[in-house]
Amino acid sequence: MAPEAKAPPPQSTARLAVAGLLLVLAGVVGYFFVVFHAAAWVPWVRNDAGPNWILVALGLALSIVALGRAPASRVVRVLLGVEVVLAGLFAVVLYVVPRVPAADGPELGAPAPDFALRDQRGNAVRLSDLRGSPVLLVFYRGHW
Amino acid sequence: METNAQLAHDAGLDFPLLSDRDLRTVDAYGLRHHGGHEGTDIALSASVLVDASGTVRWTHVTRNFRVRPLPDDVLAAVDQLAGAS
Repeated sequence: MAPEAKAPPPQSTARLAVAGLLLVLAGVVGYFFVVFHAAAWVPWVRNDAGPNWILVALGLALSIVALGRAPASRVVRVLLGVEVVLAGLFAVVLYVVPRVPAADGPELGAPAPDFALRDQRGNAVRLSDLRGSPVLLVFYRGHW
Repeated sequence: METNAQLAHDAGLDFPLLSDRDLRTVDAYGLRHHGGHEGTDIALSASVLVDASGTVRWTHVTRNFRVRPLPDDVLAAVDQLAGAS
């Protein structure tokens, strides 16, 4: 850098860091938006959150660049700190909170255990009554 | 059962939602999650495809309850049943 070059104006560096924060927020909030409102259209995002992590990484990158330009700026440091915390929480919510124990589930090729349970209208449903066409059983954890 | 009725209504589902309160079916399928929700045992998230003769042909059980089988993967598994019969 030429010795006469001026440091970039603090305002634009702060704006860069704010843009970084907005990208991180977009990534994190966007994930939950997909899960609760748009999972039918992009189900793969629910599973791997790839685009969301790309947004988070871009946001962090912008703020790191801002920090490089203005290392003494407290605003930039706080914004970057907030982003790191958000990214960390996002990782915890995505990968730690939903962890469940390993299970084999039913044996492939074995007869599916029969059952007789009531549906939401009180009707009895027996798996053995449904023979003759394929049946998809979905075990779920409760009302989301 | 009331929770299921509520879920069916909220999510606009018209397939049967079955209530397995004592987890007997969950156990028969090897899918109990001990202490899975606030200390109570619940089911693990899983999908099981049973063919027309009652045989288990495809399962999807994950280590992370966020992760669900993609609809296309389920349909592919169903298509495979049709191909094999």
